Amino acid sequence: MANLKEIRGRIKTVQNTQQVTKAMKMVAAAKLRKATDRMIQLRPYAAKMKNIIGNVVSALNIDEIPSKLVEQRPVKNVLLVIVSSNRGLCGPFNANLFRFTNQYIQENLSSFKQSGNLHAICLGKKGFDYFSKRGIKMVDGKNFDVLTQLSFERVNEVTERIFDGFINGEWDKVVVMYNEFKNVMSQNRIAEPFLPITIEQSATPVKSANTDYIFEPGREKILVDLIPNSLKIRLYRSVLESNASEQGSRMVAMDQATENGNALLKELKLKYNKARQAAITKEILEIAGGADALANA
Amino acid sequence: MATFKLEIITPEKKVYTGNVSSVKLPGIDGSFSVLSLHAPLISTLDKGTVEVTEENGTKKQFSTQGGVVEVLNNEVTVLVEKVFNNPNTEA
Repeated sequence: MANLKEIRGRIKTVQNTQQVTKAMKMVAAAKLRKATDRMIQLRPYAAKMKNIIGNVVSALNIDEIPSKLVEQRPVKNVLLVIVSSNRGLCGPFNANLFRFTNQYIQENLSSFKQSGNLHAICLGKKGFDYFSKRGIKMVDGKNFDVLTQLSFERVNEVTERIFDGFINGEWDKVVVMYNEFKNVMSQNRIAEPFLPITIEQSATPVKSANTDYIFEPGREKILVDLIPNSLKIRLYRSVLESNASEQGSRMVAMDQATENGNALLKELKLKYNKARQAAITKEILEIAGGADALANA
Repeated sequence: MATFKLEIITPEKKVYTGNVSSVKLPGIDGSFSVLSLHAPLISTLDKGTVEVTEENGTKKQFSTQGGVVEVLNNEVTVLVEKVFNNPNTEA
């Protein structure tokens, strides 16, 4: 029966696809663990840094901080840093972020987009492909490839570029768009103001700050050194969060794909058995008919 | 010899944690050493070598990218962006 063979072929196909989705799920799960590990590793450093800055800042006024990165200027050019992924097959991870970003642009930055003063750095191929076709100027016209070999150093190269642009007046405001990792199932999409930095953002003054520290080489100087550092950590953390979200999202998507495959298989098997049974019945009828004809002759 | 707790942390991992008797740090205005019961201090660090003398007298060296150090309540925390060498190499 041609029909039977056809169904058997389809069952095989679904099973093969399931093998792939299962494997991808496992890989995503392993990567997710690695990604959350990195987030946990960063925590002591980030917490301590925040604490130290809090201590240094506690007696200072923001106007006294001689750092270019706190400078509030009239906003003429805006830079978006969009953290997406390099690869697809991760459910609505990228699509959600793009929708969120578009909405954000429409609500807050539409005039900049029209006048061509909206720039973007895309971390992740998907975001680059999407936004470079939609009237946003890509910085350096290339994709900053930090996701294939994720490390603090590589993210720093991007942060340095953002600093340079800010100090040279290429942009007056920087916002980071990324997926924050809530849990495996869900992500929060975040638009985080990055520059100019406000002190409340980088550190809340610590209560234990009445300790009499010796400051080497003086509060302002330390702060000027530490502000870029805290920003580097902030971007790094955003990238890590996004990375973990991507893997989580992919894991869920692949799990669902496997489930869907199971449903499909069940249906196909039923069809197959029905067709098989029909074929058998038909054959018996034919034999019985044949025997009858012989007996009557 | 009196000891204190030392931690060396980078954004990617905790490089070192343990009780030490002294640590020499590449401060931005010149290198300095910290011994037990040092007064509270916050200082930025230049690129250079952090030299640790452990309880039993073994010395360990870490070459580091710049960072910051905090000394508080007999605990020293060194935050650096990167540690270049294998921390187990003895000096």
